[in-house]
Amino acid sequence: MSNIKYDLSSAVPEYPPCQGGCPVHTDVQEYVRQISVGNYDKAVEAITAPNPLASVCGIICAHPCETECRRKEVDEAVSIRALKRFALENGAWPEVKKAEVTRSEKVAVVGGGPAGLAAAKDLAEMGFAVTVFERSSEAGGAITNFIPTYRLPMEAVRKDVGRVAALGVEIKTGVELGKDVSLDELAKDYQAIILALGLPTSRSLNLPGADAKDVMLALPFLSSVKFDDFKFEPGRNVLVIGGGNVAMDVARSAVRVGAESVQLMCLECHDQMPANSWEIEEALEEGIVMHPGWGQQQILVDDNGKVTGVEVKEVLSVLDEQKRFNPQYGANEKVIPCDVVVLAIGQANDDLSYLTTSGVELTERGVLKYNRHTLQTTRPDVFVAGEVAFGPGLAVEALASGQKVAQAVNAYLDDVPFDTDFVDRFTTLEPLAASTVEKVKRIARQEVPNLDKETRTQHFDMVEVGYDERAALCESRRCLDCAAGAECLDELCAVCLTCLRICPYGVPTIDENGVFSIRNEECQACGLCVGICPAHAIRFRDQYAQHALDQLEDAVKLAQGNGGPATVVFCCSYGAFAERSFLNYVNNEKPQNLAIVRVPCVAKVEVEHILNAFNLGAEAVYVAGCQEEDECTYQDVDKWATKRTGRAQEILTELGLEKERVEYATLSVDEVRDFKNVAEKYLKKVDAVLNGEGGEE
Amino acid sequence: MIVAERKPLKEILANLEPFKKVLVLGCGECVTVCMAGGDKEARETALALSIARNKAGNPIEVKTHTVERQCEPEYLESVRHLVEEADVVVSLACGVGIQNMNMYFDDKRTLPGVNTTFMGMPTAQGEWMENCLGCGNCVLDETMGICPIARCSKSMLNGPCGGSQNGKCEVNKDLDCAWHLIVERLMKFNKLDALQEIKEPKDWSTSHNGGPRKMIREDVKL
Amino acid sequence: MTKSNLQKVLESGAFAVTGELGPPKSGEREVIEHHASHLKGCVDSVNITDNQTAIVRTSSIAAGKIILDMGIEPNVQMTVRDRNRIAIQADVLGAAALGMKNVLCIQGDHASLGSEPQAKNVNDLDSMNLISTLKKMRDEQEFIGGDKLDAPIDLYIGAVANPFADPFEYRPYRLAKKIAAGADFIQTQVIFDMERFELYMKKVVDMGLHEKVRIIAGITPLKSLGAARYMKKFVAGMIVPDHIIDRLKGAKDKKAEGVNMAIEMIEHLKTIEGVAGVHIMAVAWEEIVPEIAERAGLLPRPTFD
Repeated sequence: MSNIKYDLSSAVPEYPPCQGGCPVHTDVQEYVRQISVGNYDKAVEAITAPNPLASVCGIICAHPCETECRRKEVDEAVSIRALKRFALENGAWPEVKKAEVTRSEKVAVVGGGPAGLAAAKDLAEMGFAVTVFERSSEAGGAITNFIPTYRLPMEAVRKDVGRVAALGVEIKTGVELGKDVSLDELAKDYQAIILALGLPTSRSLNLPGADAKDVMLALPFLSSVKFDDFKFEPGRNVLVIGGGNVAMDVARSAVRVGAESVQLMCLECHDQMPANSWEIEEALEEGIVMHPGWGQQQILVDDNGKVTGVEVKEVLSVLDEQKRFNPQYGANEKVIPCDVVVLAIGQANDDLSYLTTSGVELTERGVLKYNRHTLQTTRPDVFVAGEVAFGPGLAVEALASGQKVAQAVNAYLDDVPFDTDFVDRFTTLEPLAASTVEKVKRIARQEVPNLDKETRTQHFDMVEVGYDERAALCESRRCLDCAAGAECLDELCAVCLTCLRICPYGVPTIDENGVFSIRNEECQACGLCVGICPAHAIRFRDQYAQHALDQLEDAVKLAQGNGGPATVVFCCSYGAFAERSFLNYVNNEKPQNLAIVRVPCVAKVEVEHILNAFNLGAEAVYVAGCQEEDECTYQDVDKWATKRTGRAQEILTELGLEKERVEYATLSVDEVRDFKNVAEKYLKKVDAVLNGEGGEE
Repeated sequence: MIVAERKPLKEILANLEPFKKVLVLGCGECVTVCMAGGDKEARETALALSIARNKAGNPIEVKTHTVERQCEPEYLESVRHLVEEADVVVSLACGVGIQNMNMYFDDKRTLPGVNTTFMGMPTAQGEWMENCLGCGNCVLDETMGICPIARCSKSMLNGPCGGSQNGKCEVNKDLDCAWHLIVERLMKFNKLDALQEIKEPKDWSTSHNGGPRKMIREDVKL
Repeated sequence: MTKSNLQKVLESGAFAVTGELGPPKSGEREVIEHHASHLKGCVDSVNITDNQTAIVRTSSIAAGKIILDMGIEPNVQMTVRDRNRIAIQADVLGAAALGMKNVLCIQGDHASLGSEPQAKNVNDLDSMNLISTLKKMRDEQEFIGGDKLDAPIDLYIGAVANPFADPFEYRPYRLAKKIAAGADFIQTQVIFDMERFELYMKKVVDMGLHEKVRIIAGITPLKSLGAARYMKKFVAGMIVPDHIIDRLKGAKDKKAEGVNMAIEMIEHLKTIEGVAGVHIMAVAWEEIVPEIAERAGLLPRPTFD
């Protein structure tokens, strides 16, 4: 885990923007960093820690983290979600240990979707015995019931649900509240009940022709496609009404179940369609014709009751000045011919009137009444979580809601006050200053490869192929390490301004009052200032660089007394140096007298570290940087690594030692992949130098 | 500020020959700023000394520490224990700090680890320039803010000499001729006439030539 | 007050000729006498360099005394590099006591350029201060510190000017300053760039300086191509134009060509307004001076009773 110590005087943590943007506050920076150095196991640890549906989120999360990513000011956000998927598919998952039941109270969670599962997980970890009641045959909620498998394979959902169950959470499927069991019955056995019922009902439209046979509703359609092997008869032309993600799921599923043609229409203009942009894009790739900005007037039905088209009117605006839904139409009209209409215009909760007899009240519109601060319904032991309470949202938002309700239930059972306003408080960073943005290196985002668009519509295989190792390693290097970098220790700082002069990003500044500071929030964590500060007054907020360098002592010890001269390699830990092949060399194949210390960029290797290697008993030090100029976010690395190794050579020369004992080189990707050869050559050279044969080739 | 550079390690090592426990003591002010004797240099120097002694088969125990300012006695007390447990101290402070160490810890020897070079400023990252000799009688008002005492190789008051070529000094082509700069600056301010005045021989008695200087301010003295 | 021969020549309006002698790195009187002997009768006064280019040699006052004994008038060069005001004023008195009247005030090349690069550069006074000091000693019989001389001394105060140093525009003004400080005559740096020298002299004349001081133009006969190149490259404040080097390069007999060029330059200098004489610097080639003086029509030298 990254261990960023922000303002200790305050209880409110400051998150990097990505972590702040993630509703469950996954330590994005940490897992992206672990991916970037090839440590996928550690990445999985960071991803799964707060998130019970990690696999699911790795594949379909709408990634609000990326929306917040400060790299988007520079070029494009880091492709965080795809990196998450890569890590989860390539790292080892931590074993789930069954949570010990330490509390006498039992908690029932009604609804096995993201909110319910998240609440169950947290409550189980708090020591409660938790039972989840799921009316379907399989837990997962909307994810299981409706999301098409070309987006999300069921194995991913099952893996996540299985881990929640492995904690000791009992998941009872096929049990429906209000039908198989009543709230009062549950309340006899459970001291708290969480209603995480979701929004499982598709809304219909009060429109002429809407009752025709070939007018379908989105959720039943998706469910029958997923579970009942629904197929269109040949020659059906489908029109989906709706512009959200469900509409996209419907349209793209329709293509896959044999529709002759699929069109989609919605009130919103293209730029304001509520669906995620990538969903729209992929739908277009799959041949779906879109009619954004048109409002349905009536569904045209012929004398035989067959749908022939939809009459639509041009939409001028959807919302009024108060942002209320109030579409305004223009004069243009047309008919979109079709013979099947699927309505995907939104979801609602089921009829919940059965709850009222148990003291759980509903609003006039049939929605659960609850206290926003305590998450309690009108019945104190009954709580709410997820979409049923807050309305439509992202799966990851439902997870966060589940985590919150777990705290609310815990407080309730402890008989202590609880207020949502006092949980999940955090601050995050302002956007990167324009002056910094200007100076940050542009690095193109790695496209996430998909299956070929021509053939993928013939089946329900997952469209997204995902990153291979090289792409993931390149993409993860794009992280700007927001606020993890340099901070000034004022009590040591001599205000020499060296950092101000060498920082490639202008992070250290003197303000208009003449006061010097290092603006940590603008830092790009290249570490150049740390290595040159004459007062040792700059350190990284995050300890990762230090941890890397701390390996030196043990590594040198292991390298000594093995026949050959103990030789230290300080190498970059990114790019090719993070690939499995290199790590395999480091862990299994390197000669025993070679100590390999991977550092987050060789610009972080200081003269002191090189000298320390010699003082610990090394006979030679090889500093190996990367040649991945285009992928590396850091600047001036080669210049400073050259200077620092040069300085170390000077000092050795002063001491009467051969300067060839220190060598700096940058290695190409191929050389790194063949590091065995590079190391052998250097070791030979070291032997020659130590035998007095000089180092010149 | 005072500018210094680390002494050649061979010199320091020769001085340390008889000793086994050494304290390398950095100073947190001028020598830190000019990157000659701050905490970073102290650690590097300590490691270098240790490496050399290991190679020589005569290991040495080196500790490092940095004090705020070695030239103030009050700051030195905090390192008393370190000084006392060492056989000898190598100070990376300027000559002032090194002397203060010897006076303050008069039972222990403190050896110089740097050569104190001049009073000056960084002209660019990694470049420092001498621009004050501390002559005790500032003439910068007459020379448009460019010191002919420190920056003219011949400390001329009525320069430039005949060795000035292309704005550079005869001593070194990398040195700006201070008088060339003065003339240019006078022309910029349309004050070249000021050079018509023949400057009298300088009163050097206010400089080190008057003997080691001492300053007393009765109003702030205890 | 007794005037030096040089002063008499200059004041008579005759085109003056001075020579130069560099004392040896030894205490051999005969070496000095040998070099000086070539100059006798060809020049009005001989400059004795003061540890020229900061290389240790016999002192200029001692060497001056030796040639004075030979009946040649010395022009004692005195730098401020090696002596403080006490030593300098004492040496001026000593030189006067030995019968020397011409003193040429110079700053001196920096010690780092010479044979004792670790030496302390004294520079207690600068060359301007030295001129004023001599004037004050002569005209007011007063030392810098205010003490009075017990008796007046005869001095003819010389100063140097380098028309080829930078900043070029300032050089005539610096000359004016030296005149104001008390210079009676000026000897210039060796001239090769005649064009630049003429520009300089035009300004000097425009400022009327030539009426306040006698300007003796410096000349050096080039002995070899190497010497020309060396001066171009290494001698501070010297300009050797390419056409000089080319001409020497093209010549069969370099020495003869060097002499020819020197003579041509002297002839040219005679025509420049404000030039009162030539200073022929043929250090270690003194034997050529009679030929140059002869061919340039500078002989015989005027004599005064």
